[in-house]
Amino acid sequence: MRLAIIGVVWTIAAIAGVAIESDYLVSVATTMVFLGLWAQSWNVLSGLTGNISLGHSVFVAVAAYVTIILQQRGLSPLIGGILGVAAAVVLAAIIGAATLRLRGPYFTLATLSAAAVVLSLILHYSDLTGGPSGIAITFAHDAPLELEFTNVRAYYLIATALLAAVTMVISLLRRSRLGFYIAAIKSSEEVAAAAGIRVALVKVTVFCLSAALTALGGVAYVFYIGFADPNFLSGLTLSVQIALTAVVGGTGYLVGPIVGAMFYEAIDAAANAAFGAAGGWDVMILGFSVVAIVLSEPRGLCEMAVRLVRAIAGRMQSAVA
Amino acid sequence: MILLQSIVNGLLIGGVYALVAMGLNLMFGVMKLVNFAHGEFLMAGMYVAVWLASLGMLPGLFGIYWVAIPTMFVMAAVGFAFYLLLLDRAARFGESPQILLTIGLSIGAQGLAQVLRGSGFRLQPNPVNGAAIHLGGLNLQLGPTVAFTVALIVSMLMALLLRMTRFGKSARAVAESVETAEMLGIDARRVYIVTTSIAIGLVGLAGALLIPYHYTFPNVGQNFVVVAFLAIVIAGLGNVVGAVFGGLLMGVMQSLTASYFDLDLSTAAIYVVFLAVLLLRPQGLFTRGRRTL
Repeated sequence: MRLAIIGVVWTIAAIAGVAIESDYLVSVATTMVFLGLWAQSWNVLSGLTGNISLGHSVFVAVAAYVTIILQQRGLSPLIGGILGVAAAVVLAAIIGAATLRLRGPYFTLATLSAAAVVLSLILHYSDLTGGPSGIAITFAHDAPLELEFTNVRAYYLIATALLAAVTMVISLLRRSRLGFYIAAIKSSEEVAAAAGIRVALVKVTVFCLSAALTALGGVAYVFYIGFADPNFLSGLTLSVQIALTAVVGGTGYLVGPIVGAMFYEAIDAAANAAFGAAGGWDVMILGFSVVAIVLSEPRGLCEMAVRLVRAIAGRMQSAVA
Repeated sequence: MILLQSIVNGLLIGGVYALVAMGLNLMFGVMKLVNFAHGEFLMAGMYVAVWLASLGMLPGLFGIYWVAIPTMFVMAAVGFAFYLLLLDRAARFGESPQILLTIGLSIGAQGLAQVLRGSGFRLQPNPVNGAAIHLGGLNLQLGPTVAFTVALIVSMLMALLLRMTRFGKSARAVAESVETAEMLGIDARRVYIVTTSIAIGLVGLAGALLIPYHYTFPNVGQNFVVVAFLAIVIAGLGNVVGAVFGGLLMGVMQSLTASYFDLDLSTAAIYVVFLAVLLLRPQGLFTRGRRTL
């Protein structure tokens, strides 16, 4: 049932994207879908287990760079992308193994600084990565096997398909054996361990899954933008954006991260239109709206909407009576 | 000689890290809260200090340092408001919302700084910048030397404060167990308010000590706070005096990697140590047993 709904929504979104004439609107929508995809992937770990990652951009960066560097040496990104995702999973396994068995903020601090480390490595090994100026991909015609398309709508379709797939994965995961393990761990690690769940192993597995999904988005994104920019891909800003997007929307809802991405892109577009792109208004509004949401309704915009609908429904019922 | 000079440089850079890390670890120890907006309070302190310095400087080489004490008090007041307006109200929601609150505040404050002051780099011209002391073949940059000296004095005062005063004893009791402390008649909320004010005041002081030789810009806090996070985990979370050694160690490691390899690799080198400490000694290098603060 849920899978059917996701499929229908995706079909409508895909048709709408292809039908829209303005390239600008489609590229705004594509950026939004990528942000939603990453926030959704982040939520696999942080929403379900409660371990907050502030370094998810590192998986975007690792996958994007591995794919691009291999492509420059003649390997199709369809194969390079798999290797890029694998690299992200290995990195997640190392960080997770060192920190996820500890209580407290160790995990958050480890992910946050991992992104800073990868950024410094990318900047240092400039022969391979292009250093601070990054790697630009230029292409003039369509080459599907190279993930090169001249029409932005192709990337929109790829991004929405990935987002639909990740949403389906989460929907299935919640009702799987692993999903119940995760729910048990979130409510109490001691009880879960006493019931025979291998807590550390489950947490590391979920972290690797979340990293893999994030990395998939990274591979597609870098070809959409056509430029591997180290300060964006491995920057703290992107990591924080991913986390806050999911939180604003609501981590407890399947559509929460997507709602959050819509909210963020709407703010971003409005702030850019009103004050220009370089003013800092967009991050300021996003940051302070997170503060406001945490103080008023920590479960996010979706929870607010549900409450509002319930209140209206209640009022209508009493009016009828 | 290069080795000695690098170690000295590192210790001097580490002074500011120590001040930033001390406040972070004080808040973590007492309130069990990692303040992800700590770097932005450093940034705010730097802007306050730059503004004060632009009003005028005292005569003499160290004339710019008059801003240090006012900045510290302004930021302590900001910390007071930070606790009452935000942390106090988020406390009832538990740990994750508090983390998210400080993250939201961090990015919001960066945006606010950009909106108010632009994204340009600011440096108030002053005689300390570029000046150095020559000491038996060693070359000590004046700005970092002052910051290092102040950091050492402040850390000794903090150690005394925590051991000798009524507030310090209350804070250590709350750090050990809030429930027990409250049963003994300690007002935990008051301890939290004072703790936050001290921590933010210290990071404000760090900001004022930085401005003579370091550029001020909206994201400046990020460079320092990532290092300070690594420092407090390596030293031991919640261990305030340990954080000072942690901060100095970070400076030395950074300086040594910069001298012998490349400055870009210093974060990576620190991170390897960080992961090793987490695997082998998760309570931190400078924490014995379970006692902290």
